[in-house]
This record gives sequence, C-alpha cells and structure tokens, in this order.
Amino acid sequence: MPTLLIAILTLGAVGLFLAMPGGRADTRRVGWVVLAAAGAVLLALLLRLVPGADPRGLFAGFALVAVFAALRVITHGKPVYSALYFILLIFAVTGLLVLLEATFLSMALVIIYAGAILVTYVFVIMLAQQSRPAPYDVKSREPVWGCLAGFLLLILLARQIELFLVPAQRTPLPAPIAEAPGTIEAVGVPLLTEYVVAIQIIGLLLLAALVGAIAIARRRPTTRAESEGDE
Amino acid sequence: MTDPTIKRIETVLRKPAVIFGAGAAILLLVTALLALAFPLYKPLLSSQFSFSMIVLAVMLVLILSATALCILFERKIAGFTQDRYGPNRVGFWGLLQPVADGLKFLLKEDIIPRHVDKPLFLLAPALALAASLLGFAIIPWAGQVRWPWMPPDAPPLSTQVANLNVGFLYLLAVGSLSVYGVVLAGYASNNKYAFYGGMRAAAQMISYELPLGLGLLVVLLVSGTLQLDQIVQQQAATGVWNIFLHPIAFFLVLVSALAEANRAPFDLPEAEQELVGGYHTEYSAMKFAMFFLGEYAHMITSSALIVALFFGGWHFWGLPGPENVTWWAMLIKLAVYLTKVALFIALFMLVRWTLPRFRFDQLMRVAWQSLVPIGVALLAATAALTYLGWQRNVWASLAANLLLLAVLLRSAARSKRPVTARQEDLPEIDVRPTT
Amino acid sequence: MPDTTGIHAEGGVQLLQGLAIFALAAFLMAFVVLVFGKLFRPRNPNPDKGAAYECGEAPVGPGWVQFNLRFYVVALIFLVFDVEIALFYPWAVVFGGGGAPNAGWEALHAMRAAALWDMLFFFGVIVVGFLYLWRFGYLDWVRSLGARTDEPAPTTAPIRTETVAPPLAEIIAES
Repeated sequence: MPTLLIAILTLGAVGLFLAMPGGRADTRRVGWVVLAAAGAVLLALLLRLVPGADPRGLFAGFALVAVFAALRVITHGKPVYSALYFILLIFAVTGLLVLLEATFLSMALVIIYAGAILVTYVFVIMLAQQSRPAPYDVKSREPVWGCLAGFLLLILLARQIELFLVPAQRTPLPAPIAEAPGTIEAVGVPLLTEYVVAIQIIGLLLLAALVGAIAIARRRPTTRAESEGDE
Repeated sequence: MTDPTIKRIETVLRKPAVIFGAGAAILLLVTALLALAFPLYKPLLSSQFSFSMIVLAVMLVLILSATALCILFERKIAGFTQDRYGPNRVGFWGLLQPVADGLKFLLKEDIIPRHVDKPLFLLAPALALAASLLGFAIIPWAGQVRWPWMPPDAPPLSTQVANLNVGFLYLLAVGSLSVYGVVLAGYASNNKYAFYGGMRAAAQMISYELPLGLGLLVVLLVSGTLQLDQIVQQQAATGVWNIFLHPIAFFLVLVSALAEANRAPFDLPEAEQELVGGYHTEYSAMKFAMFFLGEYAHMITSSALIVALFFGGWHFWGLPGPENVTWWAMLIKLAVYLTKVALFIALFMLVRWTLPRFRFDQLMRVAWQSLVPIGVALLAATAALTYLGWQRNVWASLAANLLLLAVLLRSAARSKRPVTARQEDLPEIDVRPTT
Repeated sequence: MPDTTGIHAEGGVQLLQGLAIFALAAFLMAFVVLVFGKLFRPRNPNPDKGAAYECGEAPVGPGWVQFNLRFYVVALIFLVFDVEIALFYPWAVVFGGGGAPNAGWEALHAMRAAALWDMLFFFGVIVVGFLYLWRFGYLDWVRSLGARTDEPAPTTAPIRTETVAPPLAEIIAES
C-alpha cells in the first residue's frame, strides 16, 4: 500500500514538473498525460479505501474537479485564468463540504474566498497588468523545489490521515458531537463558548491585517514627476 | 413580404381584442394540456424532491418571461416619467414588444471582436445570467401545500426549490458571485470603456455587500433563523411584518440591492454618458441580451428576498395563513407573493427614472461613510433590544429606529460635506489626462 | 407552526443534487439560447466590426490599462470587513435564540449574556479599525495629499474637511 501510494505521488510530482509553464509544448503534454494517469490510479485507490464516503460518485467528481483546478492554477500561463481556476477549486471544495453537511462552512467559504479574496486577486492582477506577460508567468521559477515540497507535503498529509494503513488499522473516527454538526447553529455555540479567545484573537488579527494592508498600499508620491515615474 | 402585408399584420396585432383573445386562447390551451397530462405528473407532485424540481422548472419559465415583460414595463414607465408613450407599435399597448425584442436579439449578428479574450468573452454573459438565476433556489414562493390526494397527516410539501439550513446566507454567497460576470466581461472585452465599467462594477458591488450583510444581520437577530420560509411564517403568525420593526434595515437592504443589481442611481458601470455601454460595450445580440436578462433577474431575486424578509412573503392580513395548506391557498399565496414582487420591481423602475446617477466618489461615500456606520449602529441597537428580549416588540424597535433616525438626521445636517457635495466644495484634484 | 420539510430533510446529497440541477439549468439556459441563435443569425464579419469600439477612434494600446490604486485598497478593506461580517452570522443565530431552540428563558439569557460580551469586544475591534480608516481618509475615494500625512492635523473635526490639500491628487495609478 505505501509503496503504491508513494509511487503515485512521485508520478504526480514528475508530471507536474513537466507540465509547469516554461517548458516545451510537447513536454507539457507528456506531463499532463502522466498527471492524468497518476490521478486515475489515485482516484481508484481512494474510492476503494475511503470508508463512509457514501455518495462516491459525487465525492469522486468534486475531488477530481478540485485537483484538476488546483493543477491549472499553477500551470496556466495567464494570471486571470489562474484566478478563475481558483474559483472553480473553491466550488469543488464547497461541494465536498456540503457532502459532509458542513453547510455553514461551505457558504462562508464561497462568501469569503470567491466573493472577497478572489476579487482582490483579480484586482491585483489587473493592477499589475502589463503589455507583455510577466517573466514569472511565462516560466515558473523553482519548479523542482516547488514540486518536491508539494510532494513531501502530500506524503505527510497522507501519513497523517492514515491513508497508508488499511481501514482496520486506522484510529476510529470520533462520533459526531451533535446531530447536525455543520449547521450554523451547531457552529455558533462552541464558537461563543469554547473558542471565545480564538475569536477575539481573530478580531485583533483582522485589525492588524487592515492596518498592514493600508501600510503596504500607501506609497507616498512626493512630487508629480516621481509619482508618474514609479508606476 | 411586401410593405402593405406587414402593415396589415401590424394593424391587426394592435387591436386589443386580438392580443387578449390570443393570450386567453394560449392560457386555455396550456391549462387544458396540463389538465390532460395530469395523471402523468401526479406522482411527481407528491414527493418533495420531484415537486421541488417542478417548482424549479415552472419558476425558471415564469421568471424568464417576467424579465421580458419587465423590459416592456421599464420602457413604459420611462415613457410615463418623460411624458411620452413608450413602446406602442408592436401589438396593443406594445404588449408584443418583448417578443419582437427577443426575435431581434436572436436574429442579429453576434460580433466577437478580434482583440477579445475569447473563452472569457463567452463565459462572462453566461456567468452573469446564471449567478442571478441561482438565487431563486431558496425563495419560499407559496408556503406549504398538501395535495388533496395525500393522507391528511402527511407532512405538507414546501414550495421552495431548496430549503437550505443556511438560508439567506446562500443568497449572500450567490450574490457575491455576480461580480465575476461583470468583471470578466470588462476584462475579456479588451476595451477601455468595458474595462473601466467592469472595475467600477466590482468596486461598487463589493462595497455595497457590507451594508447588505449588516441589514440582513438585523433581520437575523429579530427572527433567530436564517431560513426564509420560517422568517415568512413568523411574520404571518404574528401579523407583524419586519418592515414595521426595522424600517432602517429595510432601507439599507433596499439601497444595497439596487447597487448590487447595478440599477440607477447606482448604474455607474454602464453610465452611457461616460463609458458608452460600460462592461457590455463590445457585446451584441444574444450575449448582450443575457446581461440584460441577468440584470432583470437579479432585480427580481432582490425584490423576492426583500419581500420575504420585510414584507411577510406570501402573507396578507385576512388571507389564508400558514396553517392552511390546501392547494387553492397555495395559489392565493403565490399570487400575493408575486404581486408584492411586482410592486417592488415597479418601485425599482420608478427610482431609476426619477433619481440622477451618483458620481463615483459619492457612490463610495454613500456605502462606506453612510450605510456602513448606519448598519453598525442599527446592529448594536438591535443587539441591545435582543438582549432585553424585546426584539419582536414593535414599539421598542420603532423607538430605537426613530432615535437612530434622529441622530442620523442631526449628524447629516451638521455634516460639512453631504453626499451631494458639489464639485467646487470638494478638495481640488489634479485632473491629468488618462493615457 | 407546521413542520418544515425541504430537501435538506433528505440529506446533503439530495440538496446538492437540487442545487447542481439548478446551476446546470441556469448554465444550460444561457448556452442553449446561444447555440439556438446560431441557426438563424447572419455572420458577415469584416475588419471594422472586429475592431475595438472606442467611439470611432482607433484604439491606442490594449484595453487592459492600469487603473487607480484606490480600487485595490477598497478591495483589501472589504476583504477584512467581509470576514468579520461572516463571523457575525453564527453569533447572531445564537444570540437570536437559534442555537438552542428548546432552551428555557434562563438558559437563553445566560447564553446571550456570554455572547453579548464576547461580541462587544469583537465589535469594538472592528469599530476601531473602521474609525482608523475614516480618520486617516482611507474611506474617501478622492484623497488629497494633505490627508496622507502621517500626523493628522491637530483638530478633532473630521480631517478631510480641514486639511484640504494643495492641488495634488492621488489619482496615482494611470501611467
């Protein structure tokens, strides 16, 4: 089992490396074929392994879309398309969350990620618009290290969720704490009792983020010539 | 066809008897067909899932035809406001104008300029339309219904397409997506007017999402639930619509809804005098029509949401209440709901043809320096009321609202720079030509 | 109040199916009209139709111009406040009594008391952030350079009315 999984992940890393922007067109095509093969095997494995994913068709569909969108985010040469694939990724993850009946989380994800963060991304992309595509969009800077880091991260994750073990050896999942653990009511109560401190820290963090964002965005053009020059 | 033939057809179509006769005939035909096919779809009506899907299909058709009619009414209202006739050449009272418009959109050449980003150029109108249609999924059109053939103790069916337990949070999520249709249209067009229109639209839509969220939070505090059907039932059970409790919250939501739908006085993204067509400058034929439909569909969604939140949804005093789940009560409730929505749309249109457009800095000032502080103050006041257990007490709420209104009016009177500040009162700015 | 039965009563999967069908219907609608229209509409492209519409002038450069930095600042501010409002929703549900619908008045009141103080603090932090933005003029669309100085003018009145700047604006972004 572990060897098979590690082989798949290695395959994925190699495929991704080949598919990264900057390579020759046919190399990238080979990369996509490798990635597709790795994805297919991984999906078959996951469907056999993951217990409790009852609506397997939906789970597989959303998972596939999510992985594909994530790959396109980093392999697409045009930043706007990357942002759009990011939104697709958000939708796929939203679908997965709804499957888990985590409805509040799914809506919050859409509102915050698709509705706010990605809009900011799009603004940044358009703000940084240049007549020619930027060199870092045309060619990825550190494809080797990037793929390696992602590969290691995935191995760690798979280890952590005990994917390397057969289902019988895994730690049993804790029983759900409430009848419907994902509704907004069920999220709200612990948020105000158990995690009060966390909420307040988030509030302060957001304040800091606000001030930081302002500080970064403010550049003082001292003279008009200078303000025109530094664009 | 020769000219005289066309003329004769036009004259015939302009007779009211012809139009209304044809309308009645079509209505009769559809009713007869539905009655004949009844055994076919009767089993579908009895389960919640298939019934929801039927509601979905019926509502999609209804809303799309309603958007077409809306455009006619918009032009009629424009005509009324500007003391002219409005469309009156195609059919009696211009009633066939939507058909003519639709045909024209269908038959016009669909120009895709050479310089556009083609995939995004095609995706944008579809996204704009889909995002505004998605909101209809949770509108509780007509309460609940139990068909005569169902056992009397069976749970009644809901006329909502999807009863999500996140309720109108879903509407907020879908609403935040409607930015993308416009931004992508602006970006994909590769046209400066379109680009500025898209940017303006995006900044405007995100800015007005905050007051919208705050206004909805107030309703949430009052009702204690996010689900629209329960909010409507609450209002029906007590007979007190939320508008009587929180007029200011209603105002916040109304203004934000206007801005989110890019309607005048917030129609800067498509301000003809400055930006030609704004984000849809480069669009023609059916793709242009889709932006149009999207805008009107958005308007209907917003109206339906406001009606459910503040105007009791399908409830009207003296008419069947929540406990009456017969099919005729459902039809009455649906009629009441649609009437309220229609009145709101009429209000939206009147606003468009009466108020002048904001300038962009005014627009931003209204959102950030008027509506958001009002929303925050109102939320605090409502939280205090809720803490005291008075959140559904009309007098307490009204008193709080009046107090807030007084404070607002006072601060507005003292403000040195009102929203409508004239250009010469604003700090001088250095206008450099855009390159 | 009659029991509410919607799709959610039958589980997340059916709910998802409902929404997926809705989304699909909405997208299909859009594409069916487009494809259907293709059967009827003329297609006579010519170079002039393919040009960018800029009121008859030949466009100078691509349409993707750089634009005002203010848009970006607004998006950043919005982002922070959007997260805060999203966090307010669970609070409002609990505070409005949705967290424990069958709890008695005592329990509800105790929960409200806790929730009120928690949120008052959170609320206060937001208001501080908002006042910061307001005071230093970041909520103004047209900002004068005078309002950009780090030290505000020594006055308690709204800064933007007092420190009207020399005529240099911060329409930075066009290049």
